[in-house]
Amino acid sequence: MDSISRDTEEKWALPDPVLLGRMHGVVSSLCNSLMVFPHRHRLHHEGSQLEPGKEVRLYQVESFSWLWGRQARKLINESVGTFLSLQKIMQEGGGAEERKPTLVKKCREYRSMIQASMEESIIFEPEEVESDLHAYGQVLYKMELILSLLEILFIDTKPGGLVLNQLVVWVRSHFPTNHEKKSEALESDHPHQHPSYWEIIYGLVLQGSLDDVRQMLSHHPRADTDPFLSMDELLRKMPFYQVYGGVSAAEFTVRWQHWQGECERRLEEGHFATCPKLLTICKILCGDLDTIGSLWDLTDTWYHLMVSTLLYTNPTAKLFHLAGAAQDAIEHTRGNHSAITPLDRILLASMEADTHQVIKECQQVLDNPWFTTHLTDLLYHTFYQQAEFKFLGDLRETLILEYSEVLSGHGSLWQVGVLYLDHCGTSGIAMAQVVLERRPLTSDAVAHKVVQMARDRKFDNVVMSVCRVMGRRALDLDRLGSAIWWGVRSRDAAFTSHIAHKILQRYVEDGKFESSPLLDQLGPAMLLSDTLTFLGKYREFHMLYQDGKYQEAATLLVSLISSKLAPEYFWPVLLLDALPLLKCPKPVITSEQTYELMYLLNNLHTATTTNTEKQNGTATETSQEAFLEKERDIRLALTNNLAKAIIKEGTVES
Amino acid sequence: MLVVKSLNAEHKDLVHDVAFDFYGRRMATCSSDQTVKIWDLNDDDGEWVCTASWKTHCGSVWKVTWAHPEFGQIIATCSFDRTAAIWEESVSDSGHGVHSTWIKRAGLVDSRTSVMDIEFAPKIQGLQLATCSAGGVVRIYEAPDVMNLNQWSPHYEINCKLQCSCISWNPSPSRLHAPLIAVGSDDPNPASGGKVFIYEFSANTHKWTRVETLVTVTEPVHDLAFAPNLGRSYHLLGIASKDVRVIALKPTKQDGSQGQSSLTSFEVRQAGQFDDHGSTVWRVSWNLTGTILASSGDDGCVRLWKANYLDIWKCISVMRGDAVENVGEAEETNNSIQPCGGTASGQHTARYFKLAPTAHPSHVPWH
Repeated sequence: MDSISRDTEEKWALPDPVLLGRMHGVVSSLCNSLMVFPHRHRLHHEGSQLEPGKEVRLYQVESFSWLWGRQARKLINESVGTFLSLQKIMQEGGGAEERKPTLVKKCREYRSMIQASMEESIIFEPEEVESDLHAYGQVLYKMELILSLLEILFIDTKPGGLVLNQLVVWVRSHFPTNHEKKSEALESDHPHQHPSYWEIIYGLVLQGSLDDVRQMLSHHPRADTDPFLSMDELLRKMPFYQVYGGVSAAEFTVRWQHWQGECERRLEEGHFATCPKLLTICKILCGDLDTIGSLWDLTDTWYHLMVSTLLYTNPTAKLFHLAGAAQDAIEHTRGNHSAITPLDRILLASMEADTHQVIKECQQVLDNPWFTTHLTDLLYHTFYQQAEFKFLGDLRETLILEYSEVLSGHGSLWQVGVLYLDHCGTSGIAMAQVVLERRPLTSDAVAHKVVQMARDRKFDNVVMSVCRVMGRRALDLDRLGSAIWWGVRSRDAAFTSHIAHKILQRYVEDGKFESSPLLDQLGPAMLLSDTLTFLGKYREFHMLYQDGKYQEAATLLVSLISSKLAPEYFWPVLLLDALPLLKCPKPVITSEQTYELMYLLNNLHTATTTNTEKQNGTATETSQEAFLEKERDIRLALTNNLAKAIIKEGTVES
Repeated sequence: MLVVKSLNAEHKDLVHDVAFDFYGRRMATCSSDQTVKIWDLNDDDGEWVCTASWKTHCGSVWKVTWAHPEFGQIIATCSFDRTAAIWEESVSDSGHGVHSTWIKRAGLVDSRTSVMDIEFAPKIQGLQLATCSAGGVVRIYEAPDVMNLNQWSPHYEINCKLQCSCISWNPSPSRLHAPLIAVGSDDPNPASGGKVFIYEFSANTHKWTRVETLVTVTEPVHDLAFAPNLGRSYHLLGIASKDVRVIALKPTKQDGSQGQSSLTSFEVRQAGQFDDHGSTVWRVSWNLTGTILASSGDDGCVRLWKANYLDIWKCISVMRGDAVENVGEAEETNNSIQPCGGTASGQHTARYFKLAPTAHPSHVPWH
């Protein structure tokens, strides 16, 4: 027996030369990476506390499981599909009878996935370390073994609750050596000379493959003798219970007892006295425990032994019989076998119908929650609304959270994790937000993906946050166009104003716009902040002017000036922009509008002159000087335009 | 199975704090050598690369903390030199790759004693920063204009009356919860009463008020941390004192008659108390989902604690720091660390190795 309690924690050692083992840990990131470093209580010291020649090392401790391996990738990606479709069907409701076929089907899907990746792990990956690969294959094998047992016991239950037929099939498919050896023997010229001819036959009997036994026996040179013919008859006549065979369990029991009585009679009458091998077979058929027990090494494991024993002692065994039978079988094998393995405990707990224990054991044995998550989900839906299994609901959510947390630490599997969280109640929603929000935005593509997934789930705060971070990052890299695009998306008025100012200031300095196509397509988004609105409208003015629509351009420009949306540092630019319009041979600026411009110019003049008195040598000074030079020009143009405009307006009126 | 990578911190003295950024892809370390180093995770090989290192203070740097990336790349540090400082990264592309420099945006010099802990508020509260000092004063600063980090105003000053050692904001993102701060004191006198104080901010009165003192914790507190809240109805506080404590604070329902200005009262429940360390506990930290608490103590161990689905807390993993005698050998083998504990084959020479458990051989998940 494993004497260590399964509930104890694990212990790990980290060697560190710096201090006598005083370690600190900081947990980080979703995938639960832990940074550990040596530490001493903080007391201020002059001079270094490090001994010369020693260095401080940090230790990053991360959990690692086969889920990260390439082999598991397919398993993860396929199982999410099955999981999601199962949730969908279960949500649609329906009674227990409608749900059962779905659950059985999904359970088999999981099993075939496990089998497929088991086969793959055998075929591929020659470069992998052999022991690792072996361990991986072992884990998969055990998972499949457990899941198929649970399928028989809880999910694919038959009317009447008789489980033995399925258990026999379960044993056959997991211990195929007898059948393999049988084919091997039959392919040879003299099957009965095969070194383990009788062992194969015993093995087949213990697995209830009686037709195969008869086939083997028929190749024996003495097959025509009485003992062999008698045995053949017994083997042929053994009744097997069939759920839908039209025979009731009671009726079957009568037939079966009759058959076994016949076996016992022939045994007593000495039909097989001349052939001890057949005698042994007959004793097995009679359910002789000593004989079956003595052959236990042919069964490899206690659970095989248990099924074989039940087959010839209690063919109508139900679930509640299994616990006792399992205990007996374990008791019997313990003398020869070493300790009970974790797998044994899981299988035993399954036979004891202790689902809670099964899940707990699985959780402790497997190094990741893939299996337990899907298993618990299946059981949760199986025992749906049964009071005694209420714990499964909470447990299922906890496990799904754990599984998706493991996935979320992965560079590409995090999206799969989010899909699971959609089916995990309120804590799932909260967790999905964290997973999305904390996904490292390593590229624009990732950011778009996160935004899209968050938007699908109506996580507005996550969308906003991601956009803000991207905007801020673009700003740090001086990509103003991109920054404003993300800023608009995040609806952050202060941030977009800041960027808009930056773009305008840069225009003042070098007369160029950053990412103008982006700015031209802002549309209604430009209303987010005043500065952004101004920026957008100002771009519009440029377009109109370039297209030669001077009239509209002039109206827009004046409205921009009179609306006072423009920041003060931009006024000179606006007036200079007005200059060519003022000089148009046909006046495009009305007298009213000219007055507005004149008003602005005067304001600007006072502001500039007072500013120049106040401060010296600032960056804006040069542009102000440039403006002052142009001021005369503008004043002249304004007066000319005013004159022309008044004349024109006067003419039209008359 | 655990995998361990080790790296040279390159600090010339002991490291006091390691802080990860929001995404866990950047790391800041601070040390008694008065410097801070920034490490970035290399995408190609998963290694940490030091991208910046500079002198930040004129004394031991106790703590370093990251602001939310929405505000840019900002860290804050606090030190024995009685100051705290705010640093912003400035990236320049020189043509030979991106170069990062960290610029001091503000020095917070209000404290007259060593500044023991520092933490940025949850982003929902804007760019706020809380510090606490050995003199027992908690200060909350704010940058009113998040685009201008040069201006930080000391918004609030709370006198805790006992020397402070640690501070933690409640990270709960909910708008329903008023901002909460937990402050721990390492005052050595048990007679001075409870060592953990909870302060709540009232938006109506614009004041921080003490709403709770954890009277059950009378031993010096060295670290505390609120757990991230993923949909729980209560807050979890991890405390490092003479033992590890997990305290649940459940806001009790207020009746409408009290009006909105009334403060929250809490139902305090001890979810766990563990003296497994058998000695003083120095640090506690949570994972991002608030499901695992890591603690470290004078027994040289880092322990991981986790609640099962029935909310029962248990130790799930222990990491022990082992003193190694033959340092030279460890360095010769290409900076590898040797697995301790007997069961490992000892043939690993790579930088990565799978850590062998010392207790029992099966591989149990620790997360």
